[in-house]
Amino acid sequence: MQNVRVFFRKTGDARFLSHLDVMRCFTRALKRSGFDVWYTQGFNTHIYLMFASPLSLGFESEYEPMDFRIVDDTPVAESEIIDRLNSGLPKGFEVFAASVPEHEHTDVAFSEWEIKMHGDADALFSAFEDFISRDEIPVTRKNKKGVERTENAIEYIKKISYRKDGSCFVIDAVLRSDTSSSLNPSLLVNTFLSDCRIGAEDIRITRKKLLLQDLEIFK
Amino acid sequence: MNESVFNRMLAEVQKPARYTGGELGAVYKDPDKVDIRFAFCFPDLYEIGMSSQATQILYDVLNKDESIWCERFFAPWFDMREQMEKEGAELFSLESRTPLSEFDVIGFTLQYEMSYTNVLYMLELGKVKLLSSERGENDPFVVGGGPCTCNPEPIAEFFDMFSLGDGEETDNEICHCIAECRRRGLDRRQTLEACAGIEGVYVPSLYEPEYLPDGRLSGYRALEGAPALPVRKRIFMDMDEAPYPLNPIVPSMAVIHDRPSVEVLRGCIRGCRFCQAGFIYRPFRCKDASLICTQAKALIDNTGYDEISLLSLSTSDHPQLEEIMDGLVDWSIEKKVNLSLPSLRVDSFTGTLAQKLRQVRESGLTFAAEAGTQRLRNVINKNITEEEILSGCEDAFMNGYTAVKLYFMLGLPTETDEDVLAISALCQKIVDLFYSLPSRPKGKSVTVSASVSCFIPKPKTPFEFCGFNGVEELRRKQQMLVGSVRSRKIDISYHDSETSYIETVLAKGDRRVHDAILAAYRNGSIFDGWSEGFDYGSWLKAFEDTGIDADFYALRARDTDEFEPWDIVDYGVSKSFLKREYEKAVAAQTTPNCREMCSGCGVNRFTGRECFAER
Ligand code: SF4
Repeated sequence: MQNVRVFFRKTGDARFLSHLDVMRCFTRALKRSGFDVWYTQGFNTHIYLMFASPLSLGFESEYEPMDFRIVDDTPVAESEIIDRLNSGLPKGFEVFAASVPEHEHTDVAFSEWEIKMHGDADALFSAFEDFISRDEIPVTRKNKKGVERTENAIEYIKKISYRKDGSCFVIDAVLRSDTSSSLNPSLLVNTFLSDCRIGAEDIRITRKKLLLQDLEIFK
Repeated sequence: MNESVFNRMLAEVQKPARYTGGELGAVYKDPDKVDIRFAFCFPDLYEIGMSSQATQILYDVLNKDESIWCERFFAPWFDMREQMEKEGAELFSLESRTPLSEFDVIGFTLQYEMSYTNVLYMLELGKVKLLSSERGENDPFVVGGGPCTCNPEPIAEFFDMFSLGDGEETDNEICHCIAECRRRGLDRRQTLEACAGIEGVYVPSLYEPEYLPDGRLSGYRALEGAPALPVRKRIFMDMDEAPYPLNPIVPSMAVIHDRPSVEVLRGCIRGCRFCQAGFIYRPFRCKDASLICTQAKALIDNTGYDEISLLSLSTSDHPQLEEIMDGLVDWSIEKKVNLSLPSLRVDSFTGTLAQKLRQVRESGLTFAAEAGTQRLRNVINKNITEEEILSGCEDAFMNGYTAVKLYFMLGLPTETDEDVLAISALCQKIVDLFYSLPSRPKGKSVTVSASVSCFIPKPKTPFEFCGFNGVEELRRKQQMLVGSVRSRKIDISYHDSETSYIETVLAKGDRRVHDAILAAYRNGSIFDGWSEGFDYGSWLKAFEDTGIDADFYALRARDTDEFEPWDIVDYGVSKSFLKREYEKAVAAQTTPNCREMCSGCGVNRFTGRECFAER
């Protein structure tokens, strides 16, 4: 039995697929790959696959890990895994690396995001300058029990910078995203946009990397 | 379609993946390198349309042709319609996001009558004129196919032509014919006449209906250049040669029927008198067992699904059932693939085969009993007996099943209250049977659910002469049935009789009914097959405003000699056969299945040979 971790991109129209859809697409791609993949035991047996940090519907990513197992121990060439999986995936998915997992999923501490929006880039830029320099940015969300809670978003931000890119306003942010606490970038953006009251559209949120506590790249 | 408009719209809808395309198996071509761009339209949601084998077959056959690019369109759900209206967006294809109006041929598959308003909805969203008579030289040709075309008349004004029967070859021929006419510089009318020459193609504008003073049809007048009526449906005889998609589109999002299927046979030998499919898909044709197995394996290898279904009206009637199962059961266990066998009859569910099947088939057990009493089952020629149902249940309970589902119909011809009450009595017998078994699953209780639909007398069946039972009468029967249940283990669900009434009008209407369909659409009716869409008031108002007498079409028992709108298309079964069957039905006499005896339905006029040579 060997553990395999692949990294894939989910871009373009693929962002419209939910996490559940993504799991189903990969289940089929694995089944179709012909690898002797490991199935979970028990009554409702299915192909074992694990995603580190599920991506919300609408988000793109350039760095999504997925783990599975091959029953046989004979090493398989990386390119073989990449090619066989890619040939069974819909448009917008691209597996680009495969290796033995180095870190545990629970080691993921941060996600690096790029948040891009169209609108009056100058106005958005100066508004964000003001917004992000505050000591406190209250964001409200519900916990699993449906109880609303207000927190300070600043505490979830490890690094943040922003820039103009043609007519776009772009935020690059490293946000906490571990199993116990995380900040969804859309919450930050929506709070900003309703605070500054400047119109923005075609907001694209892309995960660039998953990072460890020491900001090294999750592998 | 402008990309930022597309992104804006999709950001606002519930299930954006319905509109993106890009699935594994979707076909992309260079539009400049094809002669004909074909818009395949399924007048319902993506997840319904992508569950249909018609979608997969036609998409595959059309795209295998280098001169054609077939792209898909589905009906946008209410949230998407709102976005499209806000943006002024036209209906666009999934593949290249090209507006519908830019296609050469628009092909609708008509699987159920309640999707008719969605045809208008999609045409209008696509800026295509709704009436065939309004379309000009530069407009697309609108073609209809699928089971509903066995009475094309209620929607005939919306379509330029219909493809009757098996459509595997017809659509490609229509495309080639249109391309050829264009090369020769022929006008629209000449092109339609040329298409009418293709086997299985009916062009309604070449014929004019004529009526009696009392409103009934008297016949049709053929215009110059029109082939004689009736137009025969097309039959693809050799199932082993029938094109079948082995690299189907694999939807990325969950759809209703989320597994590939192998069609194992076409047609049906049973002749259940209420079942339109059982008559319009005749004759009975089988695919060879070894081909079925090869196709099933290829489909799993190519798609990566972990489930496959064998598709037919009655899989048990395949003469090589044992071989099919031998070829698939062990393979499916080894490959961890579920076999879904939706139409396997109770009586083939025995012995060692049954034991093997139990390892692979899904849990739960269903019986299409259709009627509560043996008398009424004889009327409808459903030859399943109470003993068979009970012994099938017993067998299932002994093997750990605790849930049984039964299907029934209300409002069948000759039905009495006694027949209705027999439905709950049968359910009770199954509950009692469960508790009488010493070896029943321990510590578990049983559930018997009965799904009760309203009978709709359909064209091309022996009940085409009958009227619909009536909205109020069906409600009374439903209440009576629910009130007669004495056990909490029995769960009865029934269908809304108003929908069935409208469906009857749409199924049995003539050409004049199109006015009411158009009016209902103008009143806001779309997605009539959905509770979110169906609005009875909109339909009643449409009938009222257009002066269409819905009862005339739905409730009236018709004389067996009356000229019916669907008599202009010949689906093989002859009217004299349907009359004989109707008379036997009323006398509660059954008809043997085609393998036991040929009842002379007339379809072999088309094939020129006996259906069962070995009989
Ligand atoms: S011709 Fe005879 S055997 Fe063939 S379908 Fe008709 S009734 Fe059945």
